[in-house]
Amino acid sequence: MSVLQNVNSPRPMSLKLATRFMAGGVAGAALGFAVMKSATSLHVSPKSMTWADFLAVWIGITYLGIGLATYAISFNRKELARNLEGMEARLPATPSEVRTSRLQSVTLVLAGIMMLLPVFAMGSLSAIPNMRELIFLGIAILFALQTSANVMLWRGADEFLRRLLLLTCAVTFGIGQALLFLRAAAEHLGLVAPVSAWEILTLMMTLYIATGTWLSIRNRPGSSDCLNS
Amino acid sequence: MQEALLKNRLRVLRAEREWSQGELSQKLGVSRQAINAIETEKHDPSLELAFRMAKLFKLPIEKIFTPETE
Repeated sequence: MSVLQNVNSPRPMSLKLATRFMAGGVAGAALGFAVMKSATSLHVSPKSMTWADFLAVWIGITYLGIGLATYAISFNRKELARNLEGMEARLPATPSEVRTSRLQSVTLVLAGIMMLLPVFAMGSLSAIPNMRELIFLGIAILFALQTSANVMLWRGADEFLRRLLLLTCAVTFGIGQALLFLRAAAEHLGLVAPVSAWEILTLMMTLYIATGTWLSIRNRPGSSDCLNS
Repeated sequence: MQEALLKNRLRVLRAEREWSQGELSQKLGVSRQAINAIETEKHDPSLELAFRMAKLFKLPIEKIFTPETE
């Protein structure tokens, strides 16, 4: 088969990829169990949690899971290269790619912790004097660290990755502001009950994850590469 | 993401030189994902990146990229 024929040949769905999905599912379930176990130990009762709290826990676990997986993969340069380029990547990840990957994992883990903290603070911790203020201070510090890491990622990103991020934000804002406008109008007319900032935030973050996932799947490195096979 | 408005021969040119996407991305100073997105015509490169590609392949830009309509 010639080079150019190879270039255009479709790549079959790999068994390895399917195994990865399975492993990811099992790891995610284990992480979710561990987080909920921690919540129970802090006397955070599921009965006292709102739908927004459940959503926040799901978002937090998702971010934590992806962040920890990204961090673990960054130690295997060949595996990281396959994640970036596709299953047939020839060159291992460069030190710069490893650094970026670890920085991404830091932002994800911090985001996960920030989403979980307000929910966890509702349990036995809230009975301790000044604990809510201390937790909020902790969240503010984590937020500052995460913002710095995000700025570093933005500065190191190329035109394609910046465009992908901007598109994710634009789609999230477009859909989010439309839904928020309709809800706000209905709320102002007294047709529906008011929503809290926490509820709006969890919905927005869910929308952001969904948009980011959709765009990532559309732009995944899936094309065959004759030179690497 | 919006489909690219330009057709390109990047994959063929890269194959002729036996470069992987990773190698080409290092030569151009962009991410592997960017090369993949350009090759699969999901992303049109900026003018500046298109000029860098033309310089690297020693070809005029129009030998690498052509408008969809042509």
